Amino acid sequence: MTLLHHEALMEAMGAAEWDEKLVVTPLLDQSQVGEASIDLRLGTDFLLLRRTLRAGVELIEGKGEESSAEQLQARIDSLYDRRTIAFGDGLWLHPQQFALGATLEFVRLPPTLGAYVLSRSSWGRLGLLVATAVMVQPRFAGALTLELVNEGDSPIKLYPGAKIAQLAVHSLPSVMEFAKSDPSYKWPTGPQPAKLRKDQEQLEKIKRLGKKLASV
Amino acid sequence: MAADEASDFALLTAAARRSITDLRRVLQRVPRPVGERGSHFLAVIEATLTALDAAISDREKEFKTAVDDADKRAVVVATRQINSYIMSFHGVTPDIESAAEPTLGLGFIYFVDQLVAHLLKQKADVVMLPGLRYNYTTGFRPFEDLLINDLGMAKYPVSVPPIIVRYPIQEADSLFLHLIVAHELGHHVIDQAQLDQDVLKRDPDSAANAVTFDQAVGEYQKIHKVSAVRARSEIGGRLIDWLRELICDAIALGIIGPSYLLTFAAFSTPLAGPEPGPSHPPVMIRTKLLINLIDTWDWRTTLEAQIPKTFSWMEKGSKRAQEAGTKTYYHRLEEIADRLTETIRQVVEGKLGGERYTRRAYEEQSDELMTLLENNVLPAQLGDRSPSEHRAMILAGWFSAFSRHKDEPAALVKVVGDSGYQSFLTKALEMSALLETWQALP
Repeated sequence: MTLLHHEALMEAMGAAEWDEKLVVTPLLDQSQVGEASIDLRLGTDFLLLRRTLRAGVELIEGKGEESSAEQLQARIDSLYDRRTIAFGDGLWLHPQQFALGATLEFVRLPPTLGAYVLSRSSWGRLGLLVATAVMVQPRFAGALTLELVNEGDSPIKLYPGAKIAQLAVHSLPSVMEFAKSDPSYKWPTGPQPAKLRKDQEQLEKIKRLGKKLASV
Repeated sequence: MAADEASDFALLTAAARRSITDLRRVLQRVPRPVGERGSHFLAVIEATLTALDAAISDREKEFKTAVDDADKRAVVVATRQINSYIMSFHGVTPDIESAAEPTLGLGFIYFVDQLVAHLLKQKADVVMLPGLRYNYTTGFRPFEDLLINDLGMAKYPVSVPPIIVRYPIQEADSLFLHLIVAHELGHHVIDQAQLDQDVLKRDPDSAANAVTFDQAVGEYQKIHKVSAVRARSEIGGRLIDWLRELICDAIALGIIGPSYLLTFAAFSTPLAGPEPGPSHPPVMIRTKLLINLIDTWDWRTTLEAQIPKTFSWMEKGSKRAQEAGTKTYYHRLEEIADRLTETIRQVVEGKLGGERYTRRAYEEQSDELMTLLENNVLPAQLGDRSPSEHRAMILAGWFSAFSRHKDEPAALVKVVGDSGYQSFLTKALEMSALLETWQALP
């Protein structure tokens, strides 16, 4: 695994073959491609977690209740308010506030590359964290969801278009084999809410396990 | 009696002021738009409330100086009329909130800005609002009639006129359906340049059309048993309404290219059939005009190459006979519309000039855009780092959607129902507009 430096990044972005091509689009400034990373800007779409009248985020149903994975996902989605902030305007992020944003750029990794999303130090020093799920899998395609948290003591205004994160790209020891992708469109262009429905089956199993262990 | 008038008047003015205060509160509650977008519309609403308030003050002065009961009664009636204006104005409440925080993707809003610039050649504050009816409408200079004619304002309160575009509330993500807006904006182009009158003036078959028109009047008179004057007025109104719809279709096809044909088919086919109506020609007559223009404007090869089955279905549909039943005068209107097709084309071409979207312009970017779409890459920026052209992106988007959902008429429904894909294209429009503006900045 080798971290791609400027020339290697440019080469990957200019590759003729789609299986080798790194896409970061739109690239407003060529200077976003740095020595060993690519600066990423903040997009215009946000998801804000809202306070609800429910007890909290509960993924395992209570006694006698059952819901499909879609219903569970709809419940999770309903926890968020979707906001679009136009260029020139900004989103105030208050101390300890959490919001989901997305990169302005659409990123597509070929099967030969992986990547990490990192905070830019200038924002980090104000207390802003931009990503907790930092790894980007080979063949990912879409805008990257950013988990924005203000860990500082002062509110921070976040402007769409501002360079907020960086993408460190690395090569893989061997080309990874992937199953054929789903033909239906699924690549995100804005922040994605939690997809915990995928964990529902596991959680149900844990619940059954707890019941079994607790029985006398 | 005088005491009753005074009580009535006090109640009416109190009711008016309460409603005005309620509406002002809504206006104060919403965040002010950061840029200009929506601000002109909100300024018109503010000005309307001020004018309504002033009208109530004027009535109060009149009531004080009224010399007898009859005068007072007249003021009470006038005040009730103002209350009626205010109550009608209440419907604007959700619009105030939507104008302050747009509910549609930025990409589409930027695209409509571009359409307005191309078509109307003037600045406008385009405000997109969800509507409860399943249709698209546009309103130019909202509340102008109320402000100028009813409330006596000397001139419209803002220099950048708002254009209200209303879309079906459930279709917020349907970029492809939203393209109907190109047709709706056409109505304002017609009003601005009197294009309907221009078509009639330039009609080379005016003698033949006059004979057909008289035939239609005669048939209408016989079928509906009305006077000749009434029949002439009805047929004349319907002809103008049909003509305006056809000109709007030609403007929309001219400005955005074959994307409009596909949008028209997706939007209209589920709602309207071969039966004519007083305000709109049947779908087959409109499709016939659009396909005629597709040929004249040299788009046929593109459509036959990309969506042969769907295009062939549209073409067959355009050859169907309209089903007018006993209302035979609609066949006469069709004959006139057919004869006017060439004149409509000439008038629209003249109006659009270099703004008309051409196959050559599309083909400058189409291969690259199709490759990006096939590889699921946001088609906002081309290989030379330049922004993609919006209309090319949308047309390539349509074709790519058909390749995902199969080339068949029913795919129109699947395509407009694919909200993820349309959000993807809307984001591409946003990013391409951003890139274009960014690169133009010093």
